[in-house]
Amino acid sequence: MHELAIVESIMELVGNAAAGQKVLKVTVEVGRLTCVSPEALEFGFSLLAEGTSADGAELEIMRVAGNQLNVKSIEVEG
Amino acid sequence: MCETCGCGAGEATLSDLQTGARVELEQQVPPQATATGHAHGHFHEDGSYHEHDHAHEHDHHHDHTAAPTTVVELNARILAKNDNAAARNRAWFLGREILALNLMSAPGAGKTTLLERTIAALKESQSLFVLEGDQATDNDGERVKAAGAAAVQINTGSGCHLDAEMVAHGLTLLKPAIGSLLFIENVGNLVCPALFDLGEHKRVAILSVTEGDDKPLKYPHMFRAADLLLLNKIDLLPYVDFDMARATANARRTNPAIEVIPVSARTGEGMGEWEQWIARAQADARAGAFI
Repeated sequence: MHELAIVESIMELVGNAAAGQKVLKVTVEVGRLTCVSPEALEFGFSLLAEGTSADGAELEIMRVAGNQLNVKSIEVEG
Repeated sequence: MCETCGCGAGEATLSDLQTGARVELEQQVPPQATATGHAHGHFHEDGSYHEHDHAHEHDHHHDHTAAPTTVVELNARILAKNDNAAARNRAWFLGREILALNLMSAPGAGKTTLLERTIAALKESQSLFVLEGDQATDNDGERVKAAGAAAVQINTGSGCHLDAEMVAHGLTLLKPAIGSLLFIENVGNLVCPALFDLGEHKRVAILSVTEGDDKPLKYPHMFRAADLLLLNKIDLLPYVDFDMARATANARRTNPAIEVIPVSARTGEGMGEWEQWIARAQADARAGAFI
């Protein structure tokens, strides 16, 4: 489907917010109505995070109501 | 290319069917990543992960004191980039008093045939433009062009929906006139298109009577996002088990505000009501313009 495009957007948001710091964890909110597959998101994340400041970071997916799709927060070193 | 679903980046192309020009869309290409190999590191008891960059030595210990970390609250919409592009499209339509309609459905529900019929009915009185979305081929674009509309075909490659940036690129080729009517025929798909705002004024979902009448319950996001539901192919009702009342009730359960119009693109039944809906939507769109 389109989880890869969503992960690209996540990586852009994370990269901007991380400001060079190593990213340890990314928390996203995925609405139940968005029909986004958490497994596909995790897989896409593991691929696209490689070589970036989020390499090896944990992706935490919070299921929420409605059609929200947000990066809630990131945890960085320092 | 995504190994799970095959969707890829950098594949969308646009065809201006009036001039024959073809344009490749530059899309963000994800960094080359290999999914082969295994992690060269291990997890510690406290859950932290430690990378190794030497040969397989997994029998030693590390002395770690917890490194300081900071949580940065973002609350950022992941689809913000698409939303921004959609907002630009929306403002552009408003300024040119163009009614833009996003037509969505499962593949085969009859979007293109309905468009052909609508174009035939309106072409004497209206300037008609179509952005056609399909994975491949110019087939639908050529059909609506033959019916009497100017058309640009967007081929998404393996993409499963149109997004606002594709529409923006399409508009630079199509150049719909001031006061015109623009139909955006989305890729046949009841799931993904609902997630991507294109900048349209109204969303029209099309469900045919050869599908299940419980679809409005099974695909809530699509039907919740739609302003109008066209129940198509009603000429086939005698041959199928589709219950019109149940389908309408299901649609209203998911979206109490949705309007429902039964139509047959084949026989023309219901087309008058659909055209009146379009006229009301146009008046609505123009009322919002501040020129």
